[in-house]
Amino acid sequence: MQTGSPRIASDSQATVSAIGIDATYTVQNAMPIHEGIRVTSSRPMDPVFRWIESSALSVWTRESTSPLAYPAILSAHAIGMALAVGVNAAIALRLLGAAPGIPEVEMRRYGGVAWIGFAVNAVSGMLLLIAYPTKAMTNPIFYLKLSLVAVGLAVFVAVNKRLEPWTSTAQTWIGIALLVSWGGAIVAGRLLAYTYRRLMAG
Amino acid sequence: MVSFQMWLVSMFASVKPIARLMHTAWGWPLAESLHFIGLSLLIGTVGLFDLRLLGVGRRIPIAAMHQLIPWGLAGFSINAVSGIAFLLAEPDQYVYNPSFHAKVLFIAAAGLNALTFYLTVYRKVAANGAPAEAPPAAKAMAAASLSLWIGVIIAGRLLTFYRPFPCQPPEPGFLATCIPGFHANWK
Repeated sequence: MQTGSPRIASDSQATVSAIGIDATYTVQNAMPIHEGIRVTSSRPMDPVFRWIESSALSVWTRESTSPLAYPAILSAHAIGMALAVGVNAAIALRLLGAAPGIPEVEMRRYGGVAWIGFAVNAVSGMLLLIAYPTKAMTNPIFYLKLSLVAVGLAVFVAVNKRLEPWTSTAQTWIGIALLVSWGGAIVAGRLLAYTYRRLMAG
Repeated sequence: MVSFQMWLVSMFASVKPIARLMHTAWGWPLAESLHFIGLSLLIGTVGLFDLRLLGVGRRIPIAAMHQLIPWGLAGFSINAVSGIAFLLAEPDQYVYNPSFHAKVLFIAAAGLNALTFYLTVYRKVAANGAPAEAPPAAKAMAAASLSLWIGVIIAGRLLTFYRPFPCQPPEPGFLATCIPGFHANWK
């Protein structure tokens, strides 16, 4: 992020206010904001982004009018999220004392459902990333989302291995960690649609 | 139905404060985040209960699994509130959206399915010492519940691909999937 540093006079300046973050960018030509803002600083990843964006898979995912392209991938990503985060939320609620009739160790039976969700979202997320690599990878919130997913996944794996022998304090913290990491991942994921600075490099 | 839709839109549009809040920088993303959190909570509780009825995690008593349901209702409530906020902020984008029609239909069907479950087999499957295996009727309702909620998610995700545009002649039939009122001969 470059804020308000002096720029070459011939370039015009644009201030973008996305979700309260004010950043000043130098733009080379007047372009609608949704088509991406051209930052004049060095952009070493652009050739990689352009290469991905021009691949057949990227073009198909982005431009196909088939309902099996973008709409189906987005739907799959939401369903995978519901399964993965849903199971994690249920485990967290149980660890925090909800549904006391469920033997804790038996919550493990639903670990497989979460893994199905993770798999669906790894594939659908990868396709969304291939469709718009610049959009995601130039947005810091994308890395925040990935980090939160990594934390949530690590806690899930640890908990799913042995649900029983935790102390009650540990249980509480694990439950909170699961809810915060997955809730945070959802919020970060939603914000991606509002906070991107460039849509495509090409 | 079209005049009912137009009446609905004008009713929703008259609730101004929510719309103003939703159109601030944080309003829409916040409501969407809550909507996704609520749906995860719903699927993680109601969906897991459905899976239990279908035979996943047989060692958990069905009655014990049912203790998660209040959290599912909490998730549904979060989504009802955030969903109504969307509706009040951009009424014509939902009331004339065919994907929204499907979504409402699926939600209503899921509600009727749940009602039928509670009025028929619930007492038997959740009784003390009830068998681990749910009867076929309960399994059928569980399968219906899972499919309907997944249908709700898909219809919700597809809303943006079926955004309604101003109606072109001829006039819409029974149910408008375009925004009426842009032509002179419209009442």
